[in-house]
Amino acid sequence: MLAFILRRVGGGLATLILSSLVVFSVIHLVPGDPIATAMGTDYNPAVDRALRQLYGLNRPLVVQYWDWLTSLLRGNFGYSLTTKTSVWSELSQRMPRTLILLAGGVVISLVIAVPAGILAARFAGGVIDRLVVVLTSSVLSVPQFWVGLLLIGFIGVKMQLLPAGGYYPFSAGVGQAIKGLILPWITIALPMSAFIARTLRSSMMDVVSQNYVRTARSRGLSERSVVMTHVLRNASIPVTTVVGLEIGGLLGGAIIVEQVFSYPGMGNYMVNAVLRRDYPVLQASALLFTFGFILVNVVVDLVYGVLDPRIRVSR
Amino acid sequence: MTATAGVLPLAAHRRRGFASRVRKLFGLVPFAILLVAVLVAIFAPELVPADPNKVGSAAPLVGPSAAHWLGTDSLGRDEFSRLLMGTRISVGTAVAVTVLCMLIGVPLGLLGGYLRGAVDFTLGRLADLILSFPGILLALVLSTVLTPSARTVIIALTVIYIPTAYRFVRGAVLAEMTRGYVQGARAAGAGPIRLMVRHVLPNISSPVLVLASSVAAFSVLAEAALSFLGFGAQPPLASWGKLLSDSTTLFSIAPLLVLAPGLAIGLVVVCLNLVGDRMRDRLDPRLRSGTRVGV
Repeated sequence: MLAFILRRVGGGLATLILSSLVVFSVIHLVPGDPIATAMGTDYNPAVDRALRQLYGLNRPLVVQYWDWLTSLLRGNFGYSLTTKTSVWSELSQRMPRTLILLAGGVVISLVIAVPAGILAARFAGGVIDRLVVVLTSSVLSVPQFWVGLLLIGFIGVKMQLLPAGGYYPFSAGVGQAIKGLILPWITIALPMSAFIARTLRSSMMDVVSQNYVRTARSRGLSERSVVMTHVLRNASIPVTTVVGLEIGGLLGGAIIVEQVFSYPGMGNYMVNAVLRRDYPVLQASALLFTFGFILVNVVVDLVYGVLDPRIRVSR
Repeated sequence: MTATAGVLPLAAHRRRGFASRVRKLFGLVPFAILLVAVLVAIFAPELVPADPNKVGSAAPLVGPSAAHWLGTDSLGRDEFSRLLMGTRISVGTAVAVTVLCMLIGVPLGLLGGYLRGAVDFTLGRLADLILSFPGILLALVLSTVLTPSARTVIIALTVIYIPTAYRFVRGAVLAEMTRGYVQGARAAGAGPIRLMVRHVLPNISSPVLVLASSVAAFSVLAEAALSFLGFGAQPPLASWGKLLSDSTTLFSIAPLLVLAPGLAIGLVVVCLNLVGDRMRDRLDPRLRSGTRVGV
């Protein structure tokens, strides 16, 4: 088990270093020059030189990469080229917001998907099953941000039931904060829950036809305990994989959903950085997103190893 | 190989009677809709009732009428014409990404699956590297490197989906290599290229088509998302995603501006998925579990 953990964590670290290299070099291949962009029409060669000196942009790329990496490790994420504020102070404020968004999204999607998947598999071919299949494929066929726009339009603007966007800090009132988060949470959760429900449904249908389920039934166990202990436990393994695979989609979803709801999280910060060619912000937030992605993948791998001991031995 | 399983759904369709004939016709609907979408994309400039980019030719944000089927947008442009022209970018992007992805991913997959060893290892690690980024993040970073445009979106999405195509094709090739006909062809003196192109490729063509349909479906969705964020086609051009981002705040005044482009996207994606499912069920029942290309 220890070897398995070390191997997974080591692999994750290696990927992280490689991806930091990619993020760094891709951004420095950009044709648009940040200094020239920042000065715009007031271009002045002397100021240009001074700024390059100040931000270290005149040094070789390898040196810049090393400096960037070591200062990241020391907790210094650099300064935004446009707002001149510390990237870390901004990110540390925004990160909890994005995490709340994601965590709520995962919880809601599981709350929707698990019963839906179980019911659909339990009554395969019936009305509930068909409803689940139709609803999940519809959700997966439309853009996530469009679902968000419709929720804002109907529930936020037309019916005025919930806030149509923005951010309400928890310090100013928990009720309002949660109210403001409901629509973004649902928007994040829907595609993921659709995918989980489908996977759970099909993996439960596979498991139901296994011999050990027939044995459990023939031993006179109640339907409830057959489904809950024998079927669900085994059917949850593919679901774990799917949840892991969906994390990338979830992070991408956060970037878009934050934009739809003008929610000041990390994704919003990054999209604006891309639009303004704000390298330090873009680098730091892209790397942080990638870090989160890799971290979750490693954790999912480990959980998978616990659920299914065969995984630990192979590879 | 899967002859018996493949015949079953066909046999069901051969049942005589009105109901089965209706069902058969119904099954063609997604194909027909996709054909119409492609035709609209090609002939959009001929089809538009009004100049899609002309500002102020009509009052802004008026509801649907005989002259403006979907009303006008906030700048008084005919929304229906913009939707038709948007088909060009949205459907065109999906077609381009899918074709590029297959043109690059399939040969690489054949190569990796056939040669294995160092080539496969290198390609596999490259694929891992690309897949270690959330897809949309990579697209965003690539849009910074290249200027935002429809072409940038095509490049970014192709880069994102090639690793999935590679892994998929490689896996299929590895499975085929163990089959008897490959040994037979080898014994008959087929060289590596002939073996791959004439024997293995036709045998994996059905899963590859299924893969292509899901790459196309995800490209439509991803293009919409990137355009929505402002990284796709630039004004006055508009894809379906851009039409949505132009009308985000207008839902209560002109709901059609939000509904129509979203429904257009949904319709095309549903049809692509249905076509994919249909091919999967009829051509190759082994693939029931499906492939997913995430954004």
